[in-house]
Amino acid sequence: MLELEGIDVFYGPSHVLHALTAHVEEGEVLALLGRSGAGKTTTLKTVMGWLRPRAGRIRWRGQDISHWESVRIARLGFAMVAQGRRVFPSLSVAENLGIALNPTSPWSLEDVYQLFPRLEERRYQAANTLSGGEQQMLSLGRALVRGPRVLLLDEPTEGMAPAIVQLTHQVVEMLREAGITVVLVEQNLAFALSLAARVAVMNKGQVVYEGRAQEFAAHRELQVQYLGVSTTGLRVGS
Amino acid sequence: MVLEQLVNAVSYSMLLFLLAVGLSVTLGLLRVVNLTHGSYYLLGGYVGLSVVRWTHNFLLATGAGAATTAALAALMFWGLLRRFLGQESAQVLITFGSLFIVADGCLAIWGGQTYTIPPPPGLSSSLLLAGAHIPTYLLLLIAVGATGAAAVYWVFERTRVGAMVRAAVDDRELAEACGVDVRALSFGVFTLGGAIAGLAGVLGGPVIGVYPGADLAVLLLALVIVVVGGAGSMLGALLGSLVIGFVTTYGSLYFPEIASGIVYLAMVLVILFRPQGLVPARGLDQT
Ligand SMILES: Nc1ncnc2c1ncn2[C@@H]1O[C@H](COP(=O)(O)OP(=O)(O)OP(=O)(O)O)[C@@H](O)[C@H]1O
Ligand SMILES: [Mg+2]
Repeated sequence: MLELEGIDVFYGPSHVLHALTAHVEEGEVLALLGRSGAGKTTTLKTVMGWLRPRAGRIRWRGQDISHWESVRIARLGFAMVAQGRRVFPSLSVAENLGIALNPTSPWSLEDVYQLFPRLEERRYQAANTLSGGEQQMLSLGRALVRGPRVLLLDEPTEGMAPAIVQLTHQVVEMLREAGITVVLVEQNLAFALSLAARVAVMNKGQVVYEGRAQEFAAHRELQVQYLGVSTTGLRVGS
Repeated sequence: MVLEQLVNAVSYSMLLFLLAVGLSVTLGLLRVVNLTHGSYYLLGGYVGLSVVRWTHNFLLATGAGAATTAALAALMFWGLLRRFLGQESAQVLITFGSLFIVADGCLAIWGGQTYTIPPPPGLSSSLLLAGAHIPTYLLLLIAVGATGAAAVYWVFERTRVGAMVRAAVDDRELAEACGVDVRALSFGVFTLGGAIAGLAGVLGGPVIGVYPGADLAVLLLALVIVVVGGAGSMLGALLGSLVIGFVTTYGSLYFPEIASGIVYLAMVLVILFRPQGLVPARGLDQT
């Protein structure tokens, strides 16, 4: 289990996460939802070790990792698909994958190329010449070759064409089948609810709702109350 | 005359590349200018000088010079800089202070004279090539410099470790999240950069000489090269070195009255038209 217990996080003087408490069961997909600015990205960055909590604990399988360095957390089995498709711009596609490759990962470079043939076609091209969709595939592929135990996904469908959204959906399903723990931050509610077992909703740096995804999907009034959405029909990729 | 100047320019450029490459890559990685970089050159030169005097073995001198400055760089990084990663002004102060410590140490040991390291036996004469007198030592400098440059370039651009360094220059956070130990990598790059600068100090000994103040002079040159070429990129260091090597050589030939300022003129021109340098690392484009 991944546990966040009373996390306080600041950017300089501004206090962003307020005694945030949440947990993720091993092997589950948790949808982390919330309006823009709620602190979802900040939460993932803190788990990854990019930000240090000023108070509180982060535990993985009972071990306190709150003050570990990012690289140590990565080597423990955490991987991140950062918001905005962060890739290494001056590295080729193959190098982007190669530096992340973990020999014990169940997914090899070949598996990634099979999943995303576009990446294989462009393997020697610098990553900054890829389209947004291709960069998203590269981010996903890079996370796969890490062989993560916990994958942090930050708005993977943001600005993506329906075909890429579908592909991302397949990848997350595959990870779920493989028993990998996934924290999925999403604005696309239909996408998130079709994958997640549980939902946590954030507002102003705190978790204000936790429940089963089915329940959250079934109750429109919960969605309106916590997210302010009035979506009609929950279809993936639209 | 034409060939002689060309050999001068190319050999000087190769020496400059060895001098600047470490500074450029550590700047890309740490986002801090290592002001001690010129001191590695100076210390390498002095150690090389002493070893040549004792053993008359130039090869041994280059090894000793490089090893000494590698040790100094490693000590600086592990003992001091490692604790201040991300704190840029602290790091600048540390490297600035070390500059004076090394300079005073060298002055105490080797005194204030200007020395020239004797070139290896058999390479102190000239070669008559197409009617031009070419000092054989400069040909050695070109060969060693080009080989060194090719080796460093290959590691940086073609190996997995090199890709990790470039990844860390692009996006340090993301590199760490991909399992890259950026701190260990920085240590290695810092140490290697120190070793190469020390090697340049020995190699430059027969042509530039070793003297108090050489540390600052070459630090300035290396900085100009990094500004011209663009920080954190191997191609930038190479291009910057060629530009400055050729501008210096031909500038002092055709415009002797402004020779000392001409490299800065070149730098200003580059800054005006390409503020990030000729070929910066892509991750540094925006900064
Ligand atoms: N680097 C930063 N410096 C200062 N404040 C920041 C920084 N990054 C985010 N914030 C602030 O922290 C709060 C939470 O931001 P965060 O990016 O975690 O939100 P989010 O839930 O991921 O939003 P979005 O859905 O728009 O991505 C916001 O108020 C934001 O303005
Ligand atoms: Mg966000």
